[in-house]
Amino acid sequence: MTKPEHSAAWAETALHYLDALDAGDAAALAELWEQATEDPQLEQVLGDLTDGLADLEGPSPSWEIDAERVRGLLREHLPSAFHEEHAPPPLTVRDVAARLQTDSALAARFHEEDRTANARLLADTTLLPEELGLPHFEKWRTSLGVNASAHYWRAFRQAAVLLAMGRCQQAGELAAARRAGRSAKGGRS
Amino acid sequence: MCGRASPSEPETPGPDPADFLRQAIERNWDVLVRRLTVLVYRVCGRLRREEVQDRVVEVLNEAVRRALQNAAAFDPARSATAWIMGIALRVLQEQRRTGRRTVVQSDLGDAVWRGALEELCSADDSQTATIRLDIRQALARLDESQRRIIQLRYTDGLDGEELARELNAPTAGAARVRLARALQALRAAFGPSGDEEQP
Repeated sequence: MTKPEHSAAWAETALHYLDALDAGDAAALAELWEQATEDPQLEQVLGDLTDGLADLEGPSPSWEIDAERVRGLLREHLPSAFHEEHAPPPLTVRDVAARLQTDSALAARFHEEDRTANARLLADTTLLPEELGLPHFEKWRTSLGVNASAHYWRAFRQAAVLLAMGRCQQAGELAAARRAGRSAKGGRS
Repeated sequence: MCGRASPSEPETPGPDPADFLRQAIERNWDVLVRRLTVLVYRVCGRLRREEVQDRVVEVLNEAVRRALQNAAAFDPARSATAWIMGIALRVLQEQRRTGRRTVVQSDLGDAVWRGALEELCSADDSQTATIRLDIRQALARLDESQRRIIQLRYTDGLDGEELARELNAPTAGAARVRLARALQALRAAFGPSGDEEQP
């Protein structure tokens, strides 16, 4: 059982909160929440009671406000309140090396030298070039200063192209979601 | 290949307090909306669904605006959610200033009630028989379900999920609200006359 003094403190806080709520005393409620900013236990009690009130004495479930809709309205009125959805981070050499590493079938076909090269590239955060066409890629990969077989570099380029295609698709989906979000708000942009 | 995106942001909040607040708002959005909805619904009373929604949007909008405006004053060691809840309730208070109800006068200052509460909270099975007479009298004035809740919590020592299970309450929070309601009734029943109206 909780310590007695803790129980009494909980009871006093709970009564204070419900009294304020029953009286519609927003100032008293605000004071409690303000105190809770530096008192995690109090925040826990207030959150617990508020969630419990939602279950027992709040609006019926059919009344529940769609948090996404409220978010949409707020985003419209106060865009600075939100981060833009994060665009996928740019691809690096490390991402491709990690992809090769996780593909056990592929990794099994690498020579020892290729495995060593891949291990080195796992720590390389150089950005992949925009252009992954063969001539451009060949020139770029020599700048990495890592020796590996032609077989390895073929696999590397293939993995890089696939990862880049995946990122493009992700970015397209994000853009579409943003457009859909705007049109759902009455076509205003 | 797609155009370059900016380098990815670190997972942990950066030094910019506004950025930290934005992340906290994003992370706790559903909780903020749910809690504010129940508070608006209870504090404002007699609002239709659309009105509650409009009020929640309005209050959160203003609260977030003020929070970001004063982000520099926010200490990231504190709880951002509680901070925004506090601001939102101040906004609600300002909006209701003209027609607000009487500010509650809590009985918590009452030393006798406080003493009784402390004694009740320190009771256990072995002490049930020795609980002060005035508390026992007040308990006797409660209805059966309220008395049972108090008994389960303070003499049987149940709390959280256990208490919720015993009360058939949907959540631990719901069980604690019932307990707090029973304590309100006990406080009303407590006292020399014992005939005060229960909430």
